[in-house]
Amino acid sequence: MTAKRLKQFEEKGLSIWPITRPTPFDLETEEEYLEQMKLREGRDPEE
Amino acid sequence: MASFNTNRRVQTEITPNADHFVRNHGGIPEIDAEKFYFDVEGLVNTPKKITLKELQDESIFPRITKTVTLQCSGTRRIEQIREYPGDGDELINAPWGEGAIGTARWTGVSLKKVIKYCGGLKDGGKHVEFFGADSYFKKGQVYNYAVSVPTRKVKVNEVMLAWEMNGEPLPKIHGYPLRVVVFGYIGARSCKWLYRINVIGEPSLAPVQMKEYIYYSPQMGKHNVTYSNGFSIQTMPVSSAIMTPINHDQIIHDGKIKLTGWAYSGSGWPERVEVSGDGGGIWYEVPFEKMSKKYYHAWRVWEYEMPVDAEGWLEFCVRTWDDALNVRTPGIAVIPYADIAYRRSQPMYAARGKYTRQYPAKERRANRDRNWDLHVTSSCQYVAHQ
Repeated sequence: MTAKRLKQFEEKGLSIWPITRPTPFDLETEEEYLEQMKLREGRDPEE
Repeated sequence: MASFNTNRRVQTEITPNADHFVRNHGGIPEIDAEKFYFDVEGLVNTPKKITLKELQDESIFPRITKTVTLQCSGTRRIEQIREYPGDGDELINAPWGEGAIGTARWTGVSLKKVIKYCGGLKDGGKHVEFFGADSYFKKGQVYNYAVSVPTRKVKVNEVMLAWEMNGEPLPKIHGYPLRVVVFGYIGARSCKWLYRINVIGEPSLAPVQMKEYIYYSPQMGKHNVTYSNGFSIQTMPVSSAIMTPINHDQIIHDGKIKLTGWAYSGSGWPERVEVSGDGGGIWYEVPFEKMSKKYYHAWRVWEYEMPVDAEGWLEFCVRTWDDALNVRTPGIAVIPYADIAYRRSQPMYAARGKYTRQYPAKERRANRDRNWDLHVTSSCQYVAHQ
C-alpha cells in the first residue's frame, strides 16, 4: 500500500513532506472502496 | 489539599445543557419548528413526510425519555496532537481535552416506531442514512452532513428522534428542532437538524461515513491507510478520564488527593473504576457509592480520595471495566519477571517468560494511543502531578 501511495505522489509531482500536510487526493476511489468492502464482507455481519 | 481547577462537567451525572459539548461540521441552520417536517424514504414500504407536530402526537407515536451519553471519538485528542499532530495542524480536527462527552435526558420517539409508521422496511433495508441541514466543508468540497447506522441498531430501539434535551426544547446548537440520538455510538452518528431519513442497503457513501471517523491501529501510518482498511467508528469502546486534578497541577496534600472523572462504555455500562497512583502498578477500586447511578447508555461520574504518601512527581491513571469485562489497560508486556528491573527502559518484546505484569512504562505510551486520523477512542489516561 505504501509503495502504491508513494507512486501516486510521484505521478502527481507531489512531495510526501511535510508529513503533517493532509494528503491532497482521495486515499481510495469509490470503486476500490466498494471492492474492498465486498472482499471484507462489509462493515457489519450478515447475521 | 488544594487544586486550582474544579471541573463542573463531572459534578452531576446529567450535564447541564449549557455545558454539553458542541461539535458542528457546518453552520447552525435556522429552522421554523411550526413548518418543520422530515422525509422518510428509500427502502420503506410507504415513504412519508412527517411533521414535528405529528411526531409529537402521542396518539400516533409513543414518547420515550432516555438518559444517554454522547461522546466525540476525538475526546482527549489534544494529548495525541502533542505526541504527533497527524493532519491536525492543517485540518480542523477539534483539539479536545477530556470534555467532548456529555449526558442528557433526551425525549422523543424511537426510530423503530417511525419506520413502522412508514410500513416497515423493504427487503434489503440494512442501514438508515440521516441528513442534517448543516453544510459541511472539507478538503475544498461542500456537502450536507450525512451519516448512517445499521437498521439492527434501530430494531433494538437504540436510535431516537429527539426534540427535547433535559426537559427543554433542543437548543439551536444541539439540533433544533429535531435530531437523532444513537445510543452508545460515536456522537457523529447523532445527526443534528435532521430533515431526511433514507433507508439503504449498505453503509452511506457520504464522506463523513465513508472517509472519516475511521480508526487505525498504531501499526498504520500516514501512507498505508485507506478508507476501507480502518475501523468505521460506531460503538464507543470503554474509556475513562480524570477530570481533576488536571495535568501538571501543583497540589499541596496531606496524604490524600481527591480525583474526579468519568467512565463510559458504548456497548455496556461501567461496572468498576480503578485508579492508580503509581502509573499503573497498584490499582484502587473506586467504591460504588462514589460512582453515579448506572444506566444502559450513559457514563458514570466518580470521585476518589487517593491515598498518597509521596511528594514530588506523581503519575495517576484511571481504567474502567464494563459489565462485559472489557477494560483498557495501560499496556501489558509479557516479560521474564527477573528482568523487569534492568529492562524497564528497553522495549519489552522478548516474551520469554511466563509472568504477565502490568507494565506502566512511559516509553510505550506514544505508540499506544497513536492513531493517524486522530481519534482517541480507546485509551487509558495518565495525568502527572507535582
